[in-house]
Amino acid sequence: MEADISILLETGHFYFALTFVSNSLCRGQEERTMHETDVQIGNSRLDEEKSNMKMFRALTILFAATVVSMGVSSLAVPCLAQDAKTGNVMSFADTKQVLGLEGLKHNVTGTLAVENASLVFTKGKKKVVVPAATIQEVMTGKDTERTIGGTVGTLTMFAPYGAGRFLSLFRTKIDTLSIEYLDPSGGVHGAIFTLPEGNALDAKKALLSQGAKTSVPVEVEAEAQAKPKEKKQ
Amino acid sequence: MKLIGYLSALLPLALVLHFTGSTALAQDKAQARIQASSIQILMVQSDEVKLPVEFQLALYENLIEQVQKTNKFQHVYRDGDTAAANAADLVILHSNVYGFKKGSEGKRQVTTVAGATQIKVHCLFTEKAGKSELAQDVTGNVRFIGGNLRATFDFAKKVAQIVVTNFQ
Repeated sequence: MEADISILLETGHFYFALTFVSNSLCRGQEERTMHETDVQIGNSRLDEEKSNMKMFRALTILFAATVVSMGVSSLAVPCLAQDAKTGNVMSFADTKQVLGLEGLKHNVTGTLAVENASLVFTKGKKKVVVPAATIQEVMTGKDTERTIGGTVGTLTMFAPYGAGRFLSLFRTKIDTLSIEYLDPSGGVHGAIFTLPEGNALDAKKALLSQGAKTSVPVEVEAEAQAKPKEKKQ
Repeated sequence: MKLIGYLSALLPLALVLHFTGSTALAQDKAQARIQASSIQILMVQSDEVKLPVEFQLALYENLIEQVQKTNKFQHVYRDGDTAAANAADLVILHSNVYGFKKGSEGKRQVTTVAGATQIKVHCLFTEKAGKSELAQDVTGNVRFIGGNLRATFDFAKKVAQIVVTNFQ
């Protein structure tokens, strides 16, 4: 059994190794209780131990899945601002449009690009273009969101033994980008985006270089966002 | 027998009173409703408290969306829209934030009772000339499920309810 685990670990299958360990542990204990029950313990005790074993196994698998998903989310997707270097294009993948863009639903994930003096948000075939010259204000901020979010995240709230609450402790840092822009008839619009951490200031810089306006310079915002970190240190 | 006689005499009277009373009340309600064919929603102000810009924009955008959904107005104009100047029967909605408490989504999900986000807004509906039509304080909350910005959605839903109740 040890050889199996070491092979799994060496090949990088951490989750399978953990599951294998938990399964083998549980199996051993179950076997032991089966022998004892024949002689000493009544049926009710056997059921209780069986349910305890099941719970232990479920929690182990849940924990392993959480660890793996967190590891994968931090490693896998290149969430950084991808400077495409195709002309003046700068695009930010995995950007969520929280609200504000005409013709798009709330909380839609797509690609935010700054190109041809415009902010372009693309989701599949849908494309929303906001000319940078009409943007009156660009502000950035920092926030966190649940690592396991969406419908699955909501469903975990109903999981037994407070598993949902436990999972909500795992949070991912995100940046927020808020813009205020004018439509052709002069009406004020607001739009809010969330980007992977460390991208909002780059997006703001790109927008300002294309003609957008702001009341707070990038340097001032960068300093303000860096201050809480210094305090912690 | 006497009692039955009295009751039978009183019954028509009671019915008449009931219906006349209810129609009068309905007329009063109808009279109290404000008549307007279009509304202009101004950008949410926060003179008294420091409100993060994403909350300010979310309040404004949700407000426009929810008021549009009520179908009480032919046009819903945004702040700065030049077309609003020529609109007849226009009411203007001014919103001023006077209380803001930013909670924590994490705290809410872990503890259930702590970490609520609350936004208190004074809403004022005026005529074009500036005469006040209706003023009300509205509070937007998020107490359990959802991010902090959900408080702005809650606020907008409540304002939409006020519009439904008070406008023809």
